[in-house]
Amino acid sequence: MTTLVTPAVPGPGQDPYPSLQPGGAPSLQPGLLPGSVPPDVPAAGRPRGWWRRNAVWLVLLPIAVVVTTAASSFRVWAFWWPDGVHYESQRVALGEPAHLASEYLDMGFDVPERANTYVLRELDATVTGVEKVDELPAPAYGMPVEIPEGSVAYEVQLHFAAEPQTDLSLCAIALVSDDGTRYGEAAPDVLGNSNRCLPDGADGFVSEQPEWDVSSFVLVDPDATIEQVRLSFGGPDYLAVELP
Amino acid sequence: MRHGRRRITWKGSLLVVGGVVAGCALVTTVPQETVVETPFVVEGAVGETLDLTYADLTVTEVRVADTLESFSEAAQAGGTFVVVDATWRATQGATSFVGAEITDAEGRTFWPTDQAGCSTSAKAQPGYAWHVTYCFDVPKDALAGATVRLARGGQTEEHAGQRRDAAGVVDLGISAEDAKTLWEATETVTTESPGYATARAEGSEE
Repeated sequence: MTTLVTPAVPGPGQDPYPSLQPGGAPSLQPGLLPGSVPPDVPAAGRPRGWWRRNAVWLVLLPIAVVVTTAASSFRVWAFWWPDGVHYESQRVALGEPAHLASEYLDMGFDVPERANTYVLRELDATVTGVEKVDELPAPAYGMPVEIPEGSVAYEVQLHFAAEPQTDLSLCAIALVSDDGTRYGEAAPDVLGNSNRCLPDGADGFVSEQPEWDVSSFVLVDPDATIEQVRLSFGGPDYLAVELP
Repeated sequence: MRHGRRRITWKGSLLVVGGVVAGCALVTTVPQETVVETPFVVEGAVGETLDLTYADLTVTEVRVADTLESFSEAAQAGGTFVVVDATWRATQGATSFVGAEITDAEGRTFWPTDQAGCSTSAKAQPGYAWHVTYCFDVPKDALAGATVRLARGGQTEEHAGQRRDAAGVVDLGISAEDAKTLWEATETVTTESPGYATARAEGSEE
């Protein structure tokens, strides 16, 4: 849209180029050198409207919005999605086995060869029973624990099957009541056990047998109605087991 | 291009001035200090259970001591220790209770000490009541009319952690006369480590 700017046309008495014959080049406009391009003459009629003049930017605007949204969306998977246990990946009934598979970054605490590699944790988990108990068993370490006044205790029985040396750290077994309260979601449990998916007294956080059973104890409010068991390994996904 | 045809119009000027006036009006008429940033303060007294939505809080006992003793350590107060026993019962999920602060009648604030087995924060899950002992070293003139403020959000940076969240404020019930007697008495309190509320009650009967 560059417009050539030409000097104002001098009056007829002050012709700056006296050597030129007036009228010698009839197509040349007054004030223009021979061979120069005359400026665009704006077409007569209505001027172009705002929408027409900004058409290019108006087309680019939605594209820019999409690009900026996509560029900042990395926060969703980098910060928000991995935080907390919030995604129900599977839902099964009590006694029904579930196959769990998820990738995690192994720090190599138990199996040094796996240090700093992404490992697929694969296991079959079955919640075989959830029942109220009158007393807690003796813990593997420390003093016996009594059920505190104003609480009831539930025993959650699980059966696991996995390749030996499967890492089960960050295992969380939570009971969810009908009002959404999550009981026992944080480690350690009431008996001081922070390794809840492995049998009592297990060394480290990896499995040793191809199949094993565990019992986990959870303190619950006396008036709560437990509807679901949640099994997770650090989140964000968890297995939901519906109780009848 | 219409460079030569730009000019200030009444319509344009009105739009700009109107926008500025509307913005100023909004800022002056809407109260900026009482928006939802303010914590939802639930007030109560010693022995009363406060519903903070994420937990039930009870301040069970308030004591004053010159010396605190635990099984491994003893601590001497600069002023005097206000020992606040409280129980937390989480109601949603596993919760950390980070905020603990005493405010005196003048508005001065005192943060808890971790000497001699005292807690400065607590962690609890639903399904049980968890007992915690907080200890605050305060000067003589801070005792009368003091309140304790306990919450899951921290109190640093003007209670930033408690914004849009509930905080319990409990009057310690210390009158001016009480303050004088409490200051003069030389008491020693033996602190107990955090634990299930009832287990502790049984322990103290022995």
